Amino acid sequence: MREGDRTGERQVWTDDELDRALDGLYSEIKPRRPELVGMREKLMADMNGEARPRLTAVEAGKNVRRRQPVRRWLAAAAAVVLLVTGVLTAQTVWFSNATAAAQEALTSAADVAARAEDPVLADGQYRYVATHAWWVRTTGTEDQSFSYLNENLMEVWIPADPDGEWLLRRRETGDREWIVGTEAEARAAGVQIEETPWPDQRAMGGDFVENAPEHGNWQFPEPEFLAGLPTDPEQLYDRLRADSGGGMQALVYAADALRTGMMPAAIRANLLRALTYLPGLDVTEDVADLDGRKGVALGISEDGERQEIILDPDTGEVIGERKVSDSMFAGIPKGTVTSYSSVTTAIVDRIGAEPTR
Amino acid sequence: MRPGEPPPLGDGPDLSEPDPRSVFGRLFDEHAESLHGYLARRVGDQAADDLVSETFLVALQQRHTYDPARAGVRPWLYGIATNLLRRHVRQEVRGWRARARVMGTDRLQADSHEARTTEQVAAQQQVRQLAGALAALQPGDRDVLLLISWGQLKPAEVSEALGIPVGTVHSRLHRVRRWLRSHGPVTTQETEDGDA
Repeated sequence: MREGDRTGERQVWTDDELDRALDGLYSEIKPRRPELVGMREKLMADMNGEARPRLTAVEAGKNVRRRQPVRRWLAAAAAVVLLVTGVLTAQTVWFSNATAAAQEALTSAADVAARAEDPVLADGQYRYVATHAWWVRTTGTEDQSFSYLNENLMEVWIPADPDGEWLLRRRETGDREWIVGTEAEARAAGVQIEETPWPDQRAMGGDFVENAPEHGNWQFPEPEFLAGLPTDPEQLYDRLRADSGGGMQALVYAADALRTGMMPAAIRANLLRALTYLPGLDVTEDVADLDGRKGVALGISEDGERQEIILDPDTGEVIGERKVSDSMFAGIPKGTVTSYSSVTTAIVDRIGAEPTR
Repeated sequence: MRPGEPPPLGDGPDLSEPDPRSVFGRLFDEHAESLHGYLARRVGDQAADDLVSETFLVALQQRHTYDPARAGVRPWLYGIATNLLRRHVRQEVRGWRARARVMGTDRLQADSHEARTTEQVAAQQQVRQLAGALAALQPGDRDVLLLISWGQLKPAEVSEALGIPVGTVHSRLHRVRRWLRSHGPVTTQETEDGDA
């Protein structure tokens, strides 16, 4: 039956794939430490009541139930105040901004970016954005698991008039780096390695996905969205933090915007300056090599994972991103680079045409 | 650990001390956060807040029935929590169904375009499919699966937590995982666009 499952029409997960999917589901839920402090206080208060003679316990017994939410809320609120104070104190000492090294790298990249000239598209020309992305793929059979970094190439053609037709093309390049197991072992075990080719996607105005926001966002920074961003770097950081939720996500959102090829030089420079306010951002590698392109890596760690962007100091451009895993999953060792991508842009004369080199 | 601080409670602490404050304070410190995480993934943050509080209150009231020789304290707490969770089964199932239906849109709105999208569209479809499959499970099966996957309990501990034979845990787990493995995955994009 097991063999039949994999060749049947319905796709079947391996145990690892199921575990991975379960792990991913709601994994974004973060512990609510302030609330927990309140709950602990309440528990202790209830025990104090219980440990004491009954006379208050009986009387309190009924009321406690009814008042519970309010009391809990008040305790939690008090705890929040305490925690916030604590965090702020800690931040002024340690994490009020990006580290000095990161600030220096960002500022100098921003200076270069600000002087860059934006390419001008003639009518009928297209901005071409190619992303080479290496993502971990885990696959396997009942009793064997294989993992490899799999190279994907995503190409987007953006028309001179952004309301016109865009094209998105995706394929596997066939380049793989094996992390767990080898290709020979995987093939011997009968694992399907190649993905079915992805069809070309065409969409007016780049709306490849339904319900895309009308005026753009960090992932799709249309002119209207860009016009609404603060020009002061610190205010811009506040906006980025508010939109992204802050921390590592702030870096992800900034990188999303920077590598779209849709940001004018002045705004790119501003955004780099805004990142100097991102607490915990540090230079993680002076000369990071991404697909042969070299740049300075700026990273931020959160929950055992490090997100990095790589800046080309000569152009002030984001040339790519990396993610480093810090937890053991499906036999993938800690410290493994679990994804990285590099971005190149060019101008081409036809939709679907690749730039000549 | 600070000097003079007692060592961790371990798996089978004595909860029957006349003054429970010290031992329950530590019990809370050691287990509340992970318990909250487990519950929040099943019924959401807010219901989880209430359930964690209730779990420790019930534990406090029933501490004299806890027998360290029979069960670890972690499975015991997760068992109480899972029992309390039963009152929220409908809420939980509604949550899974809602996630199966709409989940994609928020994130897709945020990531409307380009490289991240392609990967995430697939990931989101997978989340929706899996959430829908979880909604379809029998509550007892879902408890076994999620106590192991999210509560990180071992089958023997699930048996202690739910008061069912360990053989039953294994057979439920096997059945539910086999079912999910074929009902979780999305048919990949290219097969959905059959004509591509």
